[in-house]
Amino acid sequence: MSWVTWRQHSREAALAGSILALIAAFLVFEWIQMSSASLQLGLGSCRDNNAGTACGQALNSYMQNFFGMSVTVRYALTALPALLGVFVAAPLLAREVEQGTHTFIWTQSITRTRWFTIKVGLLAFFTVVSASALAGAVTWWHQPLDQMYGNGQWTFYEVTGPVPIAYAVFALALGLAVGSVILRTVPAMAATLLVFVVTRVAIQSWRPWFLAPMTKELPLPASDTSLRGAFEVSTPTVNSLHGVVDLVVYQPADRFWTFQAIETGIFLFLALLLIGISAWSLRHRIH
Amino acid sequence: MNSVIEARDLGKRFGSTWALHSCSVRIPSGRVVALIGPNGAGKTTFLRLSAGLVEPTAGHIEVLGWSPQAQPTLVLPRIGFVAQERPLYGRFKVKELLELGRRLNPRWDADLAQSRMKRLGIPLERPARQLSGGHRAQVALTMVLAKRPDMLLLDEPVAGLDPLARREFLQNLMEAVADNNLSVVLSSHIVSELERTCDYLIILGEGQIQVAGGIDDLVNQHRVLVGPRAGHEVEGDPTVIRFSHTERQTTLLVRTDGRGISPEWEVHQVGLEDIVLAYLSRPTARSIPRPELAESPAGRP
Amino acid sequence: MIEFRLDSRTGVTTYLQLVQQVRHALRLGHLRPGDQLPTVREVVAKLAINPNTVLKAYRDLEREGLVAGRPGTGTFVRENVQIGPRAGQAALRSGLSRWMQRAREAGLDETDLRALFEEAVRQDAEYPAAEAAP
Repeated sequence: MSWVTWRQHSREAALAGSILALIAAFLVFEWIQMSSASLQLGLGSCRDNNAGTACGQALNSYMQNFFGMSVTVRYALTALPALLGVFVAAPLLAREVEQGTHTFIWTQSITRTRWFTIKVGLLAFFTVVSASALAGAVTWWHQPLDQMYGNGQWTFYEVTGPVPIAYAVFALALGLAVGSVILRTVPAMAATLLVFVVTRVAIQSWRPWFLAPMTKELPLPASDTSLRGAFEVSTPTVNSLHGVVDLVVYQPADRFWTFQAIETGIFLFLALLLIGISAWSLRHRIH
Repeated sequence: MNSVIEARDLGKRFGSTWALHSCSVRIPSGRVVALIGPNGAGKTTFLRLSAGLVEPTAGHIEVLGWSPQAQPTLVLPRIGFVAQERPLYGRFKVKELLELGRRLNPRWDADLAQSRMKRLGIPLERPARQLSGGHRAQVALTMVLAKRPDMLLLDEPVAGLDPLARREFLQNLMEAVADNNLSVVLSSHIVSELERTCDYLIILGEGQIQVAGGIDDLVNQHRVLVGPRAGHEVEGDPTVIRFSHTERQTTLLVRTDGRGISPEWEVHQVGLEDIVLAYLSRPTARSIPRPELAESPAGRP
Repeated sequence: MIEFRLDSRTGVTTYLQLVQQVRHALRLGHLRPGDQLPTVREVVAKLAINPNTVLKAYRDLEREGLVAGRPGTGTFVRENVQIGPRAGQAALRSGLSRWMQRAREAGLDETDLRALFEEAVRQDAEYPAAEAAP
């Protein structure tokens, strides 16, 4: 069955591999660019945004060159799990049933449970391995960029660590579940995209509140760098006991991995539920 | 084992419609069974239930002694199923389809598969979607024959094939039946073809089994009676399957062995096609194995 | 070796056609004692008919004493089979001619003759006058 899976999806695998290879090559290329630019500009440990200082000017020049690219890369990487769910997972069951080939493959001597397990197992393995490799590559790639961002690691929260792997697994499970219920390829793909986006946006909105945020008053004008590397939830200007201040509501830098763990847990839990739905559909709904 | 398929009160509902209900039959082994019925009568559903592709809503079905849904690992290697559209993985080359068969079926006979392809002149390197209709049907047949099954379930296997392809397919199928003592259940619309290949008949009407029995028995147990115009009482008789009147004459198709019929009726043999058509036009008529030889109307003095 | 054909228009059932063709071939000398009949597989592969039909025909022929099956080898025409007209056939033939002459004198034409004859054959098949166990 692994041979059959491979043969059936060899084109998709080749395409996915090419895309990943391209991304990897791009990341390497940009890392080289950034590192040499950083060296040239003598950025060193320069963190000061102040346009007046030489450090500030160098930093601004650096940012002009690479900020746009880093945003593009972040968005592109964020889209990858959606592509997986929509173009690989959703058609998996839906296409077999739509084209009637399920009556062919499920009457070979293999049971449909075994068929599903092996196919999804291979797909999940490929997904986790690729996502891990990519997350690792991104972690390495964004080192030279940390200087540009006030909230440091948090900028790349969605594309580093276990979180993007959990997104990919969730997208996979979502596509399978939606495909197993809708059983028509194009509607399944559309529905998967919709649900994926909605879920991601919903969890993303909830994210600042995973744990009760901390607060700090910063007297104006704000030049305090003590909150560097924190994730700012909101910064309203208020009238406090100490006068007019910026009341920063934030999640500190040291909570980064805790938040990653929470979000990973949420998406893996959802993925588990969705796999359950697929399994039920497979047994009872499809005929 | 005596019966290849045994259904007891079998029923399947899709949404609010019962595709099949109250189906009970015991199909003996070693037969080529014709499954006949109008579209929507439940033929495809019956075949899919037998292959374990669908689970019953009511009743039971046993194939070769096991439940296809509950014990698929015992049933699937012993049956071959070909759906109406003869689906295959179109992008796979013929030889890759054979490889698929080899890897997924424990009793796969690779030599048989190869020699069939060679004998039929089907190129192994060609993708399945580029094959002609006749060749696709032959590949689909090869995929099930090479499994070395005990029974084949074929849903309209020759539909849409040109006459030559149809003949070749049936020749191949009958040859395989002769070689391996295969049991076959095939559904079709074309009665004339079924007559030479099949020896057992099941007629499905509106989701229920109207007729189930050996074709020879059925033909021997039905007659056409022609006689003077009869009254309306003949129409209500359960052994009268079809009737028609002209001004002076009544023609009946009756379930009878021909004995005890009043002399005013001319008794004629009936062909299979006419028997089938008569039952199809009267979905409430029944003739299940060992039909009661009820007194026919012509037997009354 | 005999080659079977099927005529779907005659209304005679398949297995009977096979039986008749064997008898016919024997009479004409196309089949001789010791000749092998085509295997079930060969007949079925050519005519696309049910193997049971062929088996039935061969069994009938065996019962009539015309052929004998040798397990593992095939079905062969028996050595002592009688070819050509059977005994008593000449007498039957002339009896038939006399009956036809009487029927014509009664005013029956060929169609009437056939209808009468077929009716009689059919009735005899269903209510055999003399019960001879097959």
